[in-house]
Amino acid sequence: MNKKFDILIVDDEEIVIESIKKICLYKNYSISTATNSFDAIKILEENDIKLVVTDIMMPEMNGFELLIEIIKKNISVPVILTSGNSSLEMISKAFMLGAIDFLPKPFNFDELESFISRGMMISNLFIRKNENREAGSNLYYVTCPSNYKKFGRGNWVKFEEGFVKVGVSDLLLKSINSVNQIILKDVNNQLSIGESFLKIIDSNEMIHEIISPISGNIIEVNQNIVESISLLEKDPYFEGWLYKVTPSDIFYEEKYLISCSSD
Amino acid sequence: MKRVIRKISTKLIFIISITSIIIISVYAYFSINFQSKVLEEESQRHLNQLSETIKNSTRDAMLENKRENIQKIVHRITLEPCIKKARIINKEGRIIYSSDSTEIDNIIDIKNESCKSCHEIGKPLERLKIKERMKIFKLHPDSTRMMSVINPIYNEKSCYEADCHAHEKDKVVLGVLDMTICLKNIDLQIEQSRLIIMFMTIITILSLGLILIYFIKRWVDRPVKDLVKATNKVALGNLSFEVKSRSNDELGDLSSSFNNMTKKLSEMRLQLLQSEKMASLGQLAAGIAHEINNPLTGVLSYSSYLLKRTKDNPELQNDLNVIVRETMRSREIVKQLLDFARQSTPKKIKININEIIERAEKVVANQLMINNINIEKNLGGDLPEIIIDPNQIQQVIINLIVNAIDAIAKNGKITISTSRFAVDPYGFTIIKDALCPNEHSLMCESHKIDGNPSIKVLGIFDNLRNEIFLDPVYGGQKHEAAHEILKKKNINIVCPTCEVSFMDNLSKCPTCNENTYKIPIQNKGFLIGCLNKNHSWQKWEYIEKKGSQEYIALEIKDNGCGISEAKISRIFDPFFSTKEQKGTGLGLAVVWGIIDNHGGSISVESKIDEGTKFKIMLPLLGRV
Repeated sequence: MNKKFDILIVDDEEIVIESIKKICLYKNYSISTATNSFDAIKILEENDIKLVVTDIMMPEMNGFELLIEIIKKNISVPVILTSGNSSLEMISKAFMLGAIDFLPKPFNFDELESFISRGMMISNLFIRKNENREAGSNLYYVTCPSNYKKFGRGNWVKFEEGFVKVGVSDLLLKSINSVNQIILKDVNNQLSIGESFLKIIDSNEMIHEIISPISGNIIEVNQNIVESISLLEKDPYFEGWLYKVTPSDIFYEEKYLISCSSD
Repeated sequence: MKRVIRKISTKLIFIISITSIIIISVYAYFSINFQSKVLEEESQRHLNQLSETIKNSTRDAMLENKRENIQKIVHRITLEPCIKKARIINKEGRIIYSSDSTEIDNIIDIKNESCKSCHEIGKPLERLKIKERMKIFKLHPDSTRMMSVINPIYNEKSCYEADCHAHEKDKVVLGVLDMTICLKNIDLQIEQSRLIIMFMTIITILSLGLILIYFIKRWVDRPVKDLVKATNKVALGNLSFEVKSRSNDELGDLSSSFNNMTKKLSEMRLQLLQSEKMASLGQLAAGIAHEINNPLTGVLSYSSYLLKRTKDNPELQNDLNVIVRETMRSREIVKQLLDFARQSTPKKIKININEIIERAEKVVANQLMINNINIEKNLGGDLPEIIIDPNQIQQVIINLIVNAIDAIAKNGKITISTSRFAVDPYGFTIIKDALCPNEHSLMCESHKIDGNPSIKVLGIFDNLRNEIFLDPVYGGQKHEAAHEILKKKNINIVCPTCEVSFMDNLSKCPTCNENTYKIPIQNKGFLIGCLNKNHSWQKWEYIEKKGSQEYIALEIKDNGCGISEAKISRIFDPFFSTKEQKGTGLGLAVVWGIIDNHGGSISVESKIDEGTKFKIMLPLLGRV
């Protein structure tokens, strides 16, 4: 019974399962599927799954409850939540419950591919980390400083006098197969929480859109990382910051952020 | 029948009639009593006089002992119809003369009723008051009343010195003259006046009742009936029904405040309906997002998957690209719908508004061409950049242009102009954060004046307590109140939540010298003003100190059909549409919301068949 699958796809709609399955199979991942959370748990308990991609709005037991159940049962598998309702509340709830990513529906081939690719990298990272516990997590990736906050696992925000600094996490960079090119926004552009603030193109020419942890106006772009991308990977939390931002509605958005001290 | 008894008018008439019957009866009782007493006294006097006369006229005959003469006199007297009986009784109780000859020589026992008054103590009394000698009686129950008087005949010198020597010297009373008359006339008179009084009583009660019925019907019944009818209509949902106020009394007041209530009710129902619509719109959007996004996921992932797999087939690639692009567009539309339903905050950047106008024009270019409408632009050349959300402002401009196209229909002109200018705050700046000293917000979202939330306070004047909605425009005069409380002088204005007074006794209105109110504006000083309806003086030092504010004005004018005066006050209300089935009624409400979010203002002028002009003012330095 104990089979190995790369990805478990959970969705109550057959067409969504088929869509994800088609793209994953094209990318040579092995797939298992379930149309409800109960079946998904059964599959997870009986098989070896590397990554779960699950819908949120499902009858009886929704994606959030499935995620809670997975953590409760101590099944170590990263979960990507996906939903057609990608409101701030939904995204932040997904992150707070411990999802590694949130994939808004509908998505195209490239978007799904990048999410799956990052998810699989993180999964492998976690597996290696678990196999070698004594070494400590920092051997695999550096967690963000405890006085920082984040919106999901890919970014960070540091509050400073009159502005905030934002950047990307080491885990995100480790989940990308060598950063080839980054596309930043310009000064005076607006950032919106939950929307793309950075494009990373990896060595496979795959485009990764990274979401911003905060809304606000960009007042400065870190020219050092534009000149040398390697700085980003060397020191993502200090010298490798991306933008200085004047936040537009910090009081409203702060409740969606997670403190990095929980890492 | 029961209904009639239960009616206020019946009860009122009944109680008033009972009261008047009691009062008039008591009056009649005492009046008749008094009258009969007077008449009886009169007859007593008369009877006494008569008996005295007889006594005197028989005197000589007695002295001369002419018994027959005496008997004749006595008899003749009684020929008078009302004198029933006259008799003379001697001291032994023997009837010696009588009009009734059959009883002559009869002896009346001393214990007889008629002797009692004098002989009660045993021996004859010499002097008795007239009242004690008098007696009113009935021979039998059906007969008329009688009055009798006993007149004692006293012994005189001439009596005991007379030749007959019939009387001794030491006797005081020699006998009595007993006379009886009937009281028929008096009784008749009393009866008559009793009848008259009773008749008057009935007439009074009847006329009182009729007058009461008439006026109660007119003043109470009919207005109450109207009110009941109106409440029934309102209960059935007809909130536009109005009671015709007939009078200026309390019921008239009730009618007008009833009308006011229905007006407020209908406004509130509308608002409730709108908020329900808004809420269901939000649910609808969330539902649509879920329902549409799943099939869109299928289309988008399949088509983009195919795009990857057919890299060597350029013809197919082109077609697939269209599918992918259009599905991505659908995704954006759904996202925008969700953003709208959530009323997202604007994402502002620094931009020149003329740039947005150019963008918006491109979007509607096709529609303008089809309808043969020209756009004339008078854009200000050196406009500074302002901080706005370009997408939202573009939505506003597109919305207004589309409205203009709809108003023109075919062949016309739309003029768009932008300019920069400064405006004095008085009569322009909108107050958005009025607070009471205890930090209760006074802003009233549910009662808007010219589309802006009003400042709600409570006006107290004597026993009157009414809400007053102050015009939120600084210097504005369109205050509204449920009652005519605004017309009163010296009213007290308080916070509707904690009732702390806003009245400021230290300063007086410079125009009318009346007391002023002083309302705190959050972090922006105080608004001082006077409630006099004629000039509505206001002063807001904080904003005056800042001087005139600079704005970018954007005007969009068409030469279309125009909007009627009745409709123009409501065009910014959600779900109000002049386009009937064609419109959603959301366009201008959204426009208003966006401009408000930018700290600006929007106004409209229109003339039927001449055209409509929308004017948007956006502050140069962000929010005021």
